[in-house]
Amino acid sequence: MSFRNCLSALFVLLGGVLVARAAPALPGWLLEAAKQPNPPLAAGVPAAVLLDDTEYDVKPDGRVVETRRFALRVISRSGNDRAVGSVDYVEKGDKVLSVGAWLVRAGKEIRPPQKREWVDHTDGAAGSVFSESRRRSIGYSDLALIGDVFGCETVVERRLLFAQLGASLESTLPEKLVRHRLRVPPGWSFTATLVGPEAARVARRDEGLQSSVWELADLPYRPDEPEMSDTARVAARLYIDLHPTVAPGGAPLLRFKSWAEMANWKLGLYEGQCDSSPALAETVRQLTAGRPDAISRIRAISRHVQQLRYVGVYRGLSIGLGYKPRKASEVHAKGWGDCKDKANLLRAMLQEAGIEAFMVTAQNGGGREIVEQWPSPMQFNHAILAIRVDETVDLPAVVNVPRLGRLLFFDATDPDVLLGDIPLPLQGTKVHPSLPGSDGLVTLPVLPLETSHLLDRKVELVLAPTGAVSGECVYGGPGSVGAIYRALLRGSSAKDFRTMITERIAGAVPGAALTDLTTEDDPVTGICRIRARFTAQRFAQLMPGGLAVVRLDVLRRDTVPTFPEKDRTSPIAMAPRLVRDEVTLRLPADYVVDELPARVELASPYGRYSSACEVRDGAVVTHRVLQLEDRIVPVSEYAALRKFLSDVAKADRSSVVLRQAEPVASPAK
Amino acid sequence: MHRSLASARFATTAPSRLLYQITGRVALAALVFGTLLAAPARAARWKPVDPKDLAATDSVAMPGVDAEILLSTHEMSERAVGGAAGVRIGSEAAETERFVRAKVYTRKGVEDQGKFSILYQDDVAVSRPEARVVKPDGSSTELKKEDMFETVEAKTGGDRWTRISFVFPNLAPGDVIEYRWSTRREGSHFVESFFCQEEVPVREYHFIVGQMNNPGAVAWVNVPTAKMSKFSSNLEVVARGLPAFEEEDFMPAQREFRGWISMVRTFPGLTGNDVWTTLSSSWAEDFEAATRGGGVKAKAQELLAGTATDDEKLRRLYEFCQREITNYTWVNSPEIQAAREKSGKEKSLRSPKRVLEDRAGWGAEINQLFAAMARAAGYKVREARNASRAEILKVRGNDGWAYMDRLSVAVEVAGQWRYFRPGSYFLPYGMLDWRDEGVTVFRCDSAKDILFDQLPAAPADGNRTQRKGRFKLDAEGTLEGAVEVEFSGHPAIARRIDTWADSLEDVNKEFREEITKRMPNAEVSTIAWTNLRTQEMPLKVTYQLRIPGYAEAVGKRLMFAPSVLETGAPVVFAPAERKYPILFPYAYAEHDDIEIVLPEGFVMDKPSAPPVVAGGGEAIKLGHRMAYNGKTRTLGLKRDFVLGGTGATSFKVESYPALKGLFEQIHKADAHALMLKPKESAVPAATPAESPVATPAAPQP
Repeated sequence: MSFRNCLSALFVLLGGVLVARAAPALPGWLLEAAKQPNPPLAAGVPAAVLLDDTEYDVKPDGRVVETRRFALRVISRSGNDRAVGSVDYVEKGDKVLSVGAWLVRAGKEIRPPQKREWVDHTDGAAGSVFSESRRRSIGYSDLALIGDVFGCETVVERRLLFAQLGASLESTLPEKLVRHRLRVPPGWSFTATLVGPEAARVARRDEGLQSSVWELADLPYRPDEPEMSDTARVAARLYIDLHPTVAPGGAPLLRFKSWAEMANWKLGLYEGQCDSSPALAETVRQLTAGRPDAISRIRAISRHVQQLRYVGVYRGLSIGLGYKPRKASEVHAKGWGDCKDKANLLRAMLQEAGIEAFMVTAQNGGGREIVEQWPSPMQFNHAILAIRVDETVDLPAVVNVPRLGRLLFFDATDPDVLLGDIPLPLQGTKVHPSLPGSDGLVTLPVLPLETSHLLDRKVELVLAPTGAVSGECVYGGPGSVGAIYRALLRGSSAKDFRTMITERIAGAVPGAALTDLTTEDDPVTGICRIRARFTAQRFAQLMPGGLAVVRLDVLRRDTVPTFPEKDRTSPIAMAPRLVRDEVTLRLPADYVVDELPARVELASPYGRYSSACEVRDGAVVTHRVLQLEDRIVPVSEYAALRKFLSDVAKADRSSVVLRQAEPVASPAK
Repeated sequence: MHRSLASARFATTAPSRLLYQITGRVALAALVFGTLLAAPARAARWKPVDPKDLAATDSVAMPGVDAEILLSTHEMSERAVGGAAGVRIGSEAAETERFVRAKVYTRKGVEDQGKFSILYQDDVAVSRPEARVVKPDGSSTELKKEDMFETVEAKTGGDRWTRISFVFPNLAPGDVIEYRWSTRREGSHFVESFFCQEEVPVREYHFIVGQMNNPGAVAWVNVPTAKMSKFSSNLEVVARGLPAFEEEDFMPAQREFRGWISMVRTFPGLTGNDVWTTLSSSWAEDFEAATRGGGVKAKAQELLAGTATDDEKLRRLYEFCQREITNYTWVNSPEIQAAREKSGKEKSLRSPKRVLEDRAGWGAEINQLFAAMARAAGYKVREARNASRAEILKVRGNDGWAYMDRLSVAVEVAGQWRYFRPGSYFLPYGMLDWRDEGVTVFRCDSAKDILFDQLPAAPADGNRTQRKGRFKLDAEGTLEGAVEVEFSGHPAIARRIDTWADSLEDVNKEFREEITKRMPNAEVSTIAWTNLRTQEMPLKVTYQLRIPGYAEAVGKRLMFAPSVLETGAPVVFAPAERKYPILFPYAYAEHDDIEIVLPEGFVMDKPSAPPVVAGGGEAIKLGHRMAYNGKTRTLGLKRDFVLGGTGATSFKVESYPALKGLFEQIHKADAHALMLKPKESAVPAATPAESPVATPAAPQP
């Protein structure tokens, strides 16, 4: 459920909870914003942001008062849903000092019959049972009309954990002006780094030594589009290092001049957490019994940990406990944890087995854009593990890191991506191993198509003269493909799984009934396969004159993205794929091939496709290969990409025409 | 539907606020309202789990399931416990106690059952849950206080919702979990119903009614194994062997087939039909009072000027109320907001006279205005109540009134009763919402008669989708042309409601996606709507469609399906087996008129038309008629499909294999392909100027 939907649901849940309360007066900044013309509007824009202005007023004790002023104009009928305001905060750390929301119509405030309350609700991540992350929200969707301006102002006092601030200048709706203003106390200074595709457009204005303003005007509309990259909406990112010249009165602020300093800080957090217990040791002993080599021990332990349930408890966020795993012995005893808990437990269990491993900080989504010159934990949101291995371990996820050695990277959080493989969102991203002296980032490899992204599909069909068919299909693969099918198996009941496979086959073979369904999952190669046998009474289309038409594309190609829209606003993030199909159609005795589909070869910068059909030993055998490259396709090439995929779809629709063989004259008796 | 009734002594004075929310998948977590109770006085001892259950590796009742509830108890009572947490001194308290013991068989079962939470509001007290995991060897781990996570889920004004969550530690396939909690709120139980059949099988279910202060009734529905017993002042219903409930496509209301239990207050001194007659009289009096007042007669007479028939009169009144009275639910503007604000201050629905004066009102007010005007025009008018067919169908039992929350206006016309809801903004005169069609309606009358009736359902052709396509196919296989679609009845209403809050750009985007989901290569452009925002029928959309590669090249031939607008339609029934009957929401018809100009240089190769497909006594029928004009190279296709042609939209589960087969034939007939071959190899005589395409005889349904 999207946030928008969640919020709507919450407002419905709280319907009727409208309490009369004196509303803050309509502020001048909002009246001023409401007078502004719209930013350039593309077709379909539901609403436009007139102002998104955030001030960071850093206090001498290391606290920062963050004031956000936001004004939005409803442009179309779909836009009134956007007339919502919210502010995030951390319980027991931040203080929401004030919140206010208004609706302006033709320069005048529109007040609801009863002043509505802000709703204070949890904002915990998926899988959490407790979180100090909270949000206050308010909605005016029911009142906002086209042309109305919705505005809100929130003031939050936050406790800085690091002497660092980060802000993203990004847009979903078109924005007239995004502004960030920083003010530091006398005697303090700061340095700022701006990165991103539109960093050059950001105007910086210094207001004396203690304050600067960054402004970006006319950000474009970036609606939801298929295959968007994680950073598609980001125009620029602003990273700030604060330099207090005097020690702040509150808790000391952490600052990282290098990645090594960050590693040291993290190592301090991890100290004592990677413990053991008799029960943990016993589990390791059981898992590794009879496994003489290191890699089989690693595999057994890693599989055990990744199968533990993902559950998060987020406490002490404002004092940095969000970065600290629970003790490994505790996580082992409970059998559940979040990413850092699971990585730390795996580390402890490997340690128990005599294998050295290190915590690694990663970014799940957008990790390719980590800025090397800004060492900060704020650039990351995930924890994985690096396991030290020797030359005998040759797996795609092994990286030889200068000065750190051969490290096998593994994500214990993903329950389906096995040892030796790396989850797709992490491939090609920069991570930071927490080792003493780890003074740089490591780029995780983009794993090869053949070993990690291959979908191998084989179909054998036996056609009866009546047009009925019996068949078998086997499909699956290693790496990311294996993980997809493993997830499907894990998340489905036996009955639902059978229904899903039946529906998939019945999509191309009407009336297909499964006669057998089996799966195989090899923990060493990572290959997960599905094998289904089926029959269908009505498959070939029998035509007058003894002709029959048979479809050969009996497995849907739902792994290939489609792009229904003619226009595109964001670059396309193409995931790597290699699909190999072999379809064998065994003909009835009295039928011969009349016509076969033509051979097709397609090539483009985005991938390659080939399809060929031949008659061999009384059967029609078709081979198809589709290869898509891992790349970000710029918007300017959208039409070319779309054309390539459209040509692939066109070539995929392959059928064969059969004809009844001429009856052979019987020899005279 | 299996139904049994029993009575026990209990009652309340206010509607219950007990609702339910499933957050774990085994059982029901209560969305209740209250503060945390001190640990209840009840025994916290866990009873031993049967060793056979500990050792089990699969369900005996339903092999292959991920988990199974071994025992579930649900106890309700009312006590005079004034002064306890959440209850004022001198007040009584409604209490509920729950206990669940479940066996987990698979990893999916661990994922599904591993977490549990209770969400509650602060005017009810909730005990801290107790929970434990029992391993197959009998060892157990009980959750401690620190394993329970309490979060303020949301708070606003003076209201607050709290969630208690916990995670079963080290849960693995083979383990048994047990948990219990109780709730208490001020007041008493009034009308409560809940499913006792869960998404996993339930081996044993106990519903216990403890001490109650006033009479009430317990009913269990679709629980054939249920047995009731009484002990001391308690009443207990025990059900065994409840299979897992699984949702299926096109299934009737769950309450018709899924096991559920209700506890409904009964009224002192009222037995049997007395409840219905009392309610009938009471509702009728309220309705009379609300619609009797004057002030509308003159307008009604003005509107009826020049009308002759009853139908003309009622249509005139209906369309006036629906179109000339602004409906607050659907229309929004600065003026409407101001008026709405004013009307919101009224404590009850405004009188028809006021609504007429304001020319604006809520749906219920518009219905009452219509009723008042029809009465002023001399018609006999009543309030009618029914339950939604999406919720429950059989409502004539003693407590069926509790589900009748949909109101319409009944008007007697020439001895027959007709039903109207002009307050439903898009509902055309003469139609009812699909949720009301074909269901039992209760006509309220002060004469104290029990007046049940059957609401009519629109015929299939009233819910018509008519599509016209004029295409050209080129030698490369690209199909291009114009499409015009007209929607009437329910398809039009549903589309208008779905798109009401969206901008035209979003409507078009979703419409494009609707088409490209079926035909990923399709390019849809120049979309134009007529009557999208009005109440006029039909709703119409036109667009340009281009599909590269629509015709597939097979050697020298081109192959394509002429039923263009059905291309890529999903399979309707894929599963081989079915548990529950089939119910389509309403009858409907589709009529396609397609013309395709074939590419020059090609002729048709042994053309054939798909057979007529029909079944269910022609309740479902598909026919294609094709013709080819050689002079213009134009292939014509007329496609006619009807579902519910005989009025039947529901089918017994036994007919599923036949119905599935029928839809497979329909799917195949719609995908029926024609082949074109280059002209030089054609026999000229094979393409006469006007020739029907061969149609085989229709198969037996």
